[in-house]
Amino acid sequence: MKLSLIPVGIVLGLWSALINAVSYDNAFNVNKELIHYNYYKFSHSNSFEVIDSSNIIGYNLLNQFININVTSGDINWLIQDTTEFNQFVIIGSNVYLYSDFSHTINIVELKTGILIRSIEVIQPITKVINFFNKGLLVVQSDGTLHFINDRRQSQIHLDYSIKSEFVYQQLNGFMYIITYNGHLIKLNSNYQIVNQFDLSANKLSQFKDFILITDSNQIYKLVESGETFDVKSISSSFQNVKIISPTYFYNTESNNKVNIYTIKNNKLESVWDNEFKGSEITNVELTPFALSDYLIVTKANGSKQVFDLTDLLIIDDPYSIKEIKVKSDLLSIPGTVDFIISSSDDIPHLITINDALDGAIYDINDGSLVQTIVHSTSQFLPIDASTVSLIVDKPSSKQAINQVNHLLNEGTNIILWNWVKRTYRHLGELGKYFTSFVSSSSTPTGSEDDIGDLEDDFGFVKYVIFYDQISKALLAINSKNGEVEWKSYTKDIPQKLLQINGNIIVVSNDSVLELDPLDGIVLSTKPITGGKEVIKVQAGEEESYIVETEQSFESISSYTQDIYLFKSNEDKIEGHKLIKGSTKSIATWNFIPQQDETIITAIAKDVESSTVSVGIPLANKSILYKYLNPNVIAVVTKSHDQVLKIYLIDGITGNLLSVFEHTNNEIIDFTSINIIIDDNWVIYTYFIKSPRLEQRINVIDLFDSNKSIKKSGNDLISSFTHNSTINSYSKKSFAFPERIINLSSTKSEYGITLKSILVLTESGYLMEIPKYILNSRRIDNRPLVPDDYISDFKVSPYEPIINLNTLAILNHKHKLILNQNEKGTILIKPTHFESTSVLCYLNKFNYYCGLVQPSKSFDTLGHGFERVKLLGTIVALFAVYIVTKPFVSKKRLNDQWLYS
Amino acid sequence: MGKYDELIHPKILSTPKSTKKTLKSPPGFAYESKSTNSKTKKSTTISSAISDDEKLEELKIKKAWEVSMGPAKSIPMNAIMSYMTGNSLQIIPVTMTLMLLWNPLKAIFNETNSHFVNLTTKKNESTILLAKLVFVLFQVLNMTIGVYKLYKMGLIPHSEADWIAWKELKDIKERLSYN
Repeated sequence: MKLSLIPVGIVLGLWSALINAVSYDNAFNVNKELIHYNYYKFSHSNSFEVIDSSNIIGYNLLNQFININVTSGDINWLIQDTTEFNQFVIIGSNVYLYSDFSHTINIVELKTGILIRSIEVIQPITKVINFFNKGLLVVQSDGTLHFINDRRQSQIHLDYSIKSEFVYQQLNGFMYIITYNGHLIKLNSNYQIVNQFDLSANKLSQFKDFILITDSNQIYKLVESGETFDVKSISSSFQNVKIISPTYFYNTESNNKVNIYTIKNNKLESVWDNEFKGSEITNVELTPFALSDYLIVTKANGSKQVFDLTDLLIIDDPYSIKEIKVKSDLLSIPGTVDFIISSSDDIPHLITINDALDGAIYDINDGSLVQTIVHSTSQFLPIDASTVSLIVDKPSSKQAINQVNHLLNEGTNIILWNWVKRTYRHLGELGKYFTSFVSSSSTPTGSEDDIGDLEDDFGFVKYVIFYDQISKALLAINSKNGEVEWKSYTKDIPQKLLQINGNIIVVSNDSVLELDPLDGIVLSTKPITGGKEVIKVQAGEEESYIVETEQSFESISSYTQDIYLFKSNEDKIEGHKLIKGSTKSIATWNFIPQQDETIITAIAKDVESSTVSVGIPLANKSILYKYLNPNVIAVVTKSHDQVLKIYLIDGITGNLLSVFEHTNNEIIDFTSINIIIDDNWVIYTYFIKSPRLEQRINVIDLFDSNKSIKKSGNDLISSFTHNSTINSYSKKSFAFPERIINLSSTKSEYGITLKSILVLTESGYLMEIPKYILNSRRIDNRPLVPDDYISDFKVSPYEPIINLNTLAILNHKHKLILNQNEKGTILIKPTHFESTSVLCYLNKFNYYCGLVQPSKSFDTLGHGFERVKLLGTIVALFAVYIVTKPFVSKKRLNDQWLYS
Repeated sequence: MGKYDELIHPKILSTPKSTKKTLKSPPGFAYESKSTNSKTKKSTTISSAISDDEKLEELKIKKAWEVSMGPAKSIPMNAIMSYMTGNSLQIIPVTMTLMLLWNPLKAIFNETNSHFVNLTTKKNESTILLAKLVFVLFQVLNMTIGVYKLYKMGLIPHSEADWIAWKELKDIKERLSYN
């Protein structure tokens, strides 16, 4: 009986292991990606327009033309790099983008943001007017009128020019344009001038419903009789009068009174006034909507009052003016602009919103608040993301550390014992899982939370830390859910972020702050003087930082071992050594390239990078050892005749290890160079301008002999006595179909997982290229033989072009926004699963976080895992075991009888 | 009295007098009694017993060699089968190869003595030992096929590429600080 408990225990153990595994799978795959687009804010309060509650369009400060969903704050679409435009006009379902200094008009579909057409006009544009919803009337800088018919895609040039300011109006199927000096032109909808007339009124500033108002507040009524026009003066003594209708006018008086006037006996008379107490009036605006007209009064404290003038205009009764008190007293958002839109159920809504997309929506019938809109808080603007950014593991709270302490201490050297313990724990969790069902008949949210907590222990949640220009603070964003974990206001703008001994080091011009990664609280502040850069150093187990000054490196305290560093500038690379016990480094070696060369960049291998395999087993069972010197510096130089050279230097001794020189047959765009060193390779990308435009990826694989392999147990060697020469190398060049903006490589916890190279392309794709594709040992001069396939991992014949494999695009549907000046930064941090690393991309336009698995998910369950089938099989086998057990024992008993 | 004494030392009875007809000896029974003389009958019985033992001895040795040669017959078959299944690492070839290793081992330890125990007599001990050695040799040959096949499959660690995972780099004392 006791024996039969063992299989039962195993089955239950496996089962609960599966339940856990399934939950992790859900946790990792459902929401494994995060994208956040920044739009920052609209360039100014006139640069945007609300179309309805899901569309607000306009130019923002990031040189984009965007369409945002007002209620949710999501970007519907955006057009990048709209520096050549600053104005827009909406006609029908299209938006026309133009500016008053360019010749181009771009027609964009309002719904999708797709560029329909681009129109070039001869002269720079002064003004663009919607012409009867069928085209555009473009006034060019020389005053000539130009019609663009969108439907027929034709352009009509009118032989007439307006050389001054003008007012215009479309009425009764005609367009009336009156120039500043009183010349009237009447156009019909077929782009023809019907009539021209010189009016006796001039210096006009307003024109509506045949009423003209001049700069000097003179009011005229325009009377059209046949071919001729006449103006009738209306006497008025009021200032800043604005037109409501042919018979009604309004103005604001001494900032606290709004008047409405009408024409009586050819004279303006007040019919209605309203005095506003408390705060003074900042803006009064007439906003027509459908068949109604609303007068919106904004006061300095941000509160609003709306007057419905619809009935007044119909029945001429001032008492019919309805006042709607918008309950906006609680919100005082500066700089808002008002729009009236129709809601989904056809109720007019007042939407008042500012350029940072903060505001509110009110029901205009009763003034009640429908929704507050707060989108400015979701906007971050990372400063110089390439240096002031950091990805760190989510720090565990003390409580969590206590909770999971037993998990961390679970591992021993005996695998079987670990398994027994784990099964025991899983059984316990299974019990809890079932009791959670029993105790709360509602959803077992508690257990999900537990699993969520557990999940963090596998390092899937990271904090991305950067400096936000909008809130002027350091922000830590959760890489999984995008939430701001903490904000830490700093006095100075940081220059660099580092993680030292688990804490965050914020380096600014004259101080170094130490922050707690858990909550961003400043732990210590230390001043630095004369430092131009701060470098993280590791002395034994202890991490600290060293300040780079003009001449040397200086540390705050001395170390118990020698520290090696290097400095680089355009002319030379200089090796430094901080001798143990001293606080100032001395120069040890320097490298000066040939006279006509300038150093573009110098990089060393990432300290955090790790590699397990020391070589590549070949078909003949010998090993091609990798050159894994951790102290290699790669120096990229450019000579006078535009030749690219790569020097590899030993960073400790200064020995020149190798030089790779290009020829001058190709002209390289030196601004496009990206280089990385990892494992035993150097990969650099560059764009060539001649003989053709092409993006290149060059790979150099470095190999060693067995001289660097440990012979005895404790083989500690010094770079000064060790022969660090590169035994052999191979190199290959590849072409890539898109321009590469940024380059990085993956890291994993132990370095067992394959390495992938991450390239960020110009069109916003973050693509993973496995190292076995970018392999310099791919054979190009002969057909492959069976031995070649054994001599490396995933061997394929050399092909010069690397395809843009859509399956390898990590950010698949989430397009990243970037440009040459905004390369951003690719941040990678391994999780505790060897297969998986967290990958984040950050620049001022957007940030993205996801997972990268260069060797696929070999230690986590994938989507295709048939858990139901597996569970079903286990259950079925168990059932069969239970059912057949009595039969078996009966049969055994019967067998004991000789004759049955 | 052994269980099979009657078979090993058969008593030959004279033909009963009552019947004139003489019984024919069973097939393979070489000796035929021709004389009815009791004296000669006795002596011939002894001499035939001696020659029976010799023949039995001979037969046993013959049988022992047959047994020892047995595994040799499967060598060509195993070799051809190993060749035919190729060197790919799949469950069936691997199991087959492991069987090639395991079965001879099992045979050497379990069958070497049990197969020969009934063929051993006091006289042929040395010959049987030789036969046993030959038996073991052929089993080892069978195993060799298995080992060779494993080697061909790359499952026998024999060069540095096979223990690359245990190779480590020399630790460099100095480490460049960067970033």
